[in-house]
Amino acid sequence: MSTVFKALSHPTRRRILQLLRERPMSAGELADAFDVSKPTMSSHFSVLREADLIAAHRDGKSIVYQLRMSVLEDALLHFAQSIGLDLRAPAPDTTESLS
Amino acid sequence: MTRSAERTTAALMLLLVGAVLAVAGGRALELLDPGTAKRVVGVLFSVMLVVAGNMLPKFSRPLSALRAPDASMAADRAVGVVLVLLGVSLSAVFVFVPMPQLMLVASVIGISALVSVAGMWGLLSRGERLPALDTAQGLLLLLVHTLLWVFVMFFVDQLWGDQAAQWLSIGFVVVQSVAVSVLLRRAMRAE
Repeated sequence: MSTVFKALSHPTRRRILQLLRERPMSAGELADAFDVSKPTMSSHFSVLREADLIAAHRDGKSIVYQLRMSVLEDALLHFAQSIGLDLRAPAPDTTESLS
Repeated sequence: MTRSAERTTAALMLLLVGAVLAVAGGRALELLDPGTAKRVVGVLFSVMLVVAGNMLPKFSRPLSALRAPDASMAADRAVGVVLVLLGVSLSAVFVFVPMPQLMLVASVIGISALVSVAGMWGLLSRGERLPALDTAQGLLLLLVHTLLWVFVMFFVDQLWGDQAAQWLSIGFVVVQSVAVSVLLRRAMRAE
């Protein structure tokens, strides 16, 4: 459960989950929605995968991410939003911490 | 992809089934009175619904197995939420409703909610094939089907007595066997 809290603690990762709630998206599509470097996005994806909140599938050359959240985890995401955490894409941050 | 969620859910379900069997054993040995046994078994079935509903969206099938991923995943999420709410409501019913009305109230709520869930799932994920038996979602589908029959048997038992409910259990075995064979065939075709 601690990996889930860790994953939900970062605004970029919460925003990724919000985007994936609409539809499965490729890594490239998700990266385009944020102003962060590809290695940073890749680290966010790996934290979300480690928490089992998303699943990745290879589709040709691209990797497509699919939401994999339980009802409780979804409720936790809503709770994180409702306590006032902003879900807009965060401003560019080169020293972004992933923890 | 990690399989820990599947393992945890399977362990929890086995624990709940074990608890139901323990209550049945306790009742047979007359360690529990019939009223308490009914309430405890009802709460255990309700918790099964909560667990199944909570995990259903997590066990959405891979994209390659879906014709319309957006609709199918939305259906899984909606059905999951309804099953969790149903489980929580039924737990409250089994704890608080007085004994004479308990089984009728619980079975009416259970049947109407599960029929709605089946309709909603079918409507929202229209065009999708049934999940195979060897997938977590296929097993959850069978569990929800079983719980629907449980509530129908509770209902029939209240209206027409124990013997009618026992006849119904034969119907359950037949329909469940057909459902298992259909889902099993899907699993074998997928291999």
